[in-house]
Amino acid sequence: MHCFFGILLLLVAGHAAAEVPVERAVKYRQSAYYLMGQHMSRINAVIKGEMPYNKALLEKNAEIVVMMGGVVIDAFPAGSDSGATKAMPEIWREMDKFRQLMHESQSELDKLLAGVKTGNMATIEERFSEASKSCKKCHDLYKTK
Amino acid sequence: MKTVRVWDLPIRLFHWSLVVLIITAIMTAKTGGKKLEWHFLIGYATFVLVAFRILWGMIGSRYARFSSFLFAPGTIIAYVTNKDAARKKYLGHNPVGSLWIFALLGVVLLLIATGLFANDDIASEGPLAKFIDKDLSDRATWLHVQVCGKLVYMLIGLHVAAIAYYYFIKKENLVIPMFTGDKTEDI
Repeated sequence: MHCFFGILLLLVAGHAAAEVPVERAVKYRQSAYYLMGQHMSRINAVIKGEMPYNKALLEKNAEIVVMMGGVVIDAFPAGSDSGATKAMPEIWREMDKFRQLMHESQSELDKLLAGVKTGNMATIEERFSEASKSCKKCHDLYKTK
Repeated sequence: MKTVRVWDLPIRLFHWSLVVLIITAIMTAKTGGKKLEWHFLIGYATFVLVAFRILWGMIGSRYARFSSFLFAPGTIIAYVTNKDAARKKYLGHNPVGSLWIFALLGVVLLLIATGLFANDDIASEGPLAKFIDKDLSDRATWLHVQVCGKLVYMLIGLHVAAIAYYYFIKKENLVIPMFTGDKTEDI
């Protein structure tokens, strides 16, 4: 009997240890979104003419945004729906749909980066707008208001 | 029967401009992307328009002035409970309608104020958001979208419902005078 509880305890402990602690998962996710937001804003500032256009710098901003897109797509591990998060529990209930939308966003961000590389401001503006709308789609559905 | 100019030209222009601005503000907010830049411009335009309305509420013609539709609580209650003395016809805003006007002006001003500090958590923020911290900006956003945004829908619903009530039940068309400016008065 003691042996049984011992094994059970080991199993529970092992399982808990394998999971990313919730606070850490949330912080990791929010950090990635924070960086993404900063660099999205910088691209927007160039589009609005508030910051000077510099091709290399704009490319770097777009690259970081794409990279962070790759980070956040896997930053919603099971159980990370509690604590100081605005991620709605629907994300985990509809994980397939959520991931689908995340993939769509990622492809919009890829297009944005490709657009930035062309150096054509009209293209950049259009793709930035589409990428933003794609972000908004998920925010509207899955982010606590 | 006597024809009375109730809504002067500036009031009519104000009314229909506000209709256009509110509808386009809702549409651009829903679409997002670069339309959000338009949303900001619409906000500034709305501020100018409402500021004009407030000025006109003080120096405009008879029915445009706030003093003509600022009613005492007792008058409003009597109007709602339909006391005989309260049945006299109001050509301009009646005591209940006046409450709606002040509510709308208040909500629109609050929308403009909170919008200046709001952010979209994507790439845009109101022009004053950079002066406050993110948590506060998030709260301004919540007030802007979740509170004031919903109040605007509610007020539009009431407005349309009141017009329908007058049209179908009281057999009075309130839409035409908002174009022509004129109403007929029984004497």
